[in-house]
Amino acid sequence: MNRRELLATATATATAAAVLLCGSPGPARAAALPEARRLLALLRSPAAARRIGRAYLETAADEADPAKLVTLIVGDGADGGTADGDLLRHVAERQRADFAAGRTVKLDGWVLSRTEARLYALAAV
Amino acid sequence: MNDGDCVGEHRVDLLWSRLRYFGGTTGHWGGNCAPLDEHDFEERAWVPDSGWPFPKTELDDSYPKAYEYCELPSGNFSADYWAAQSASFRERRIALAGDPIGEKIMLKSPPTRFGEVYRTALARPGNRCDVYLHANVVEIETTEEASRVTALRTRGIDGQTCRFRAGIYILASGIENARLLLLSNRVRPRGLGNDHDLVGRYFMAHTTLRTGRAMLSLPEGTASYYATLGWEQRFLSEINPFIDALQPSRAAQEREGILNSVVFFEESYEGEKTPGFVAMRRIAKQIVHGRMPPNLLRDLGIVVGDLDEVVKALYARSFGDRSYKILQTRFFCEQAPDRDSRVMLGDDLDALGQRKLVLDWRLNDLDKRTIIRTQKLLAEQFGALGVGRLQVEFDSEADPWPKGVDSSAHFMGTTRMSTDPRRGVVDGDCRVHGIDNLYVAGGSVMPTSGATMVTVNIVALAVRLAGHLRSRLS
Repeated sequence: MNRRELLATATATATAAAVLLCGSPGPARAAALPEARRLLALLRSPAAARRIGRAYLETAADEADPAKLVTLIVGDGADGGTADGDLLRHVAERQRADFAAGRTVKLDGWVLSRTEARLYALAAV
Repeated sequence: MNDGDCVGEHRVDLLWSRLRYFGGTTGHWGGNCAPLDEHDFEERAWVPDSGWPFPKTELDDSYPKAYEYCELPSGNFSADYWAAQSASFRERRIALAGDPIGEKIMLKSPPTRFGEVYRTALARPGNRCDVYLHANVVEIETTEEASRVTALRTRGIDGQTCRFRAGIYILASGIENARLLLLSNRVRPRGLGNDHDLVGRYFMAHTTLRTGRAMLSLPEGTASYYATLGWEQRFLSEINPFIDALQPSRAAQEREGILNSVVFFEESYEGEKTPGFVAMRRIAKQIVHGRMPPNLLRDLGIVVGDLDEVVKALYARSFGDRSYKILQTRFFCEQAPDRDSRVMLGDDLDALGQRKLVLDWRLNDLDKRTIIRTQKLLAEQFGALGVGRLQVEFDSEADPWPKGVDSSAHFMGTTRMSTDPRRGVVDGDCRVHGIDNLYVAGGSVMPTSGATMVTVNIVALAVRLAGHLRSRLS
């Protein structure tokens, strides 16, 4: 994964969200779940996300399941009725909490939060 | 005369990094200044051989004079103060939480070339100082029991020798202090002040490593507040009067069991870490210093073999192509005091017939852990704040040291300070244990190095020593 891929995928914004709105839906398996579709819509560059996601799944093969990933990404704090803006804030908040708690993963040296790595993995399954 | 050998894994350039002339190494000092931190003076359970004979408060009175001598723009090292002064910094300041990562402001001296700036005052008629140049001290002569110094013997390049006598003697020439004590072995075969085999030991530098990179979502120009001066900035008419370095808090250092450290950002371009570009820099550095590159053919071969990357990086730098710009993280760390890290006398002789220095600079696991844990803290803090992401390259204590570990040419220790003669060469007043009228000034007395630039702290120690001598002589 190079800098441009990561930039294209997950550049942190000044307001702290590390995933950006808009983009195209991910692959069919994950897209079959409505909640997954909404999460994948947060990604700006699904192709780059898939590459990072595949790298993550090599380290966490047991998470290669869309439903499981959705649960791990969203946790208990958001449900199907959450507006897209709130979902973005919720995911960004979970990312920040991951970093604060040291729940990180290293992919090609980039230190990412577990939540964001799982979001990319969702694009890859 | 300044040259010497380096043995062991880590090397420094003893010749280039030291200047033997009036004003000394301030002749190529970078000019960044900040006082040591309070906890640098403390005995820290997780840092073996840490602790000074006195707390920072005892040096606080000496700092204002040191700032004046170093011509600093202010004596205020608060990031909040500088944010209030500068709207540009206010807009770009990274909103750190303080713990685990805080800020350490370093102020910029012009930099003061002491030999030039203070020469006039010393040459003024009626001044009570006599300055002798080209008088290289080759031996400290003492009474038979080595309890008092009786004279300094000097020798010039022309072979002429002299003896200088005084009531009190002060050694003030970095790690040459240790060399001179070891060379003065007529009365004490192991050298003066060396009854406990400490002279030359606990050599320290600032462990400096450019490793990893940052991808930050911050306004243009932010990096200029967090970077040491690059060569291209030296040509700018206006530069920021300070650097805001990032620093793990004292509490974080204790939690992680690491040394003090600060982190700078440096703007760089992709390709500049390739072997070809690094080899090209090596060649250029030697030429700039007026020396024939020692491995010129080999390095030229590396440049040619990597030509596409070299050209790309040169193009990106020359035209400031932002798409190739990266922010490199530069770690600047306190070095763990280590008895086996030392300077010794070698067998080769210099132009004065004196045994040259041999340096065995050693870094240990605590030094490694400090860099690795600091970058983890930084990555987590940036992620938690939503500031950006870090890519790390050196992330396992089991790995060997990466290439490029540097000393920042900050040489400290070798005549360390302690109230206990079994743990230090000089006492809390910087007097050599057991010798009534011999003092040491400079970074060689520092028991720990802190994570800041050395010069202003050396000057503060000298101001404190001057105060002590004034009261002793009165």
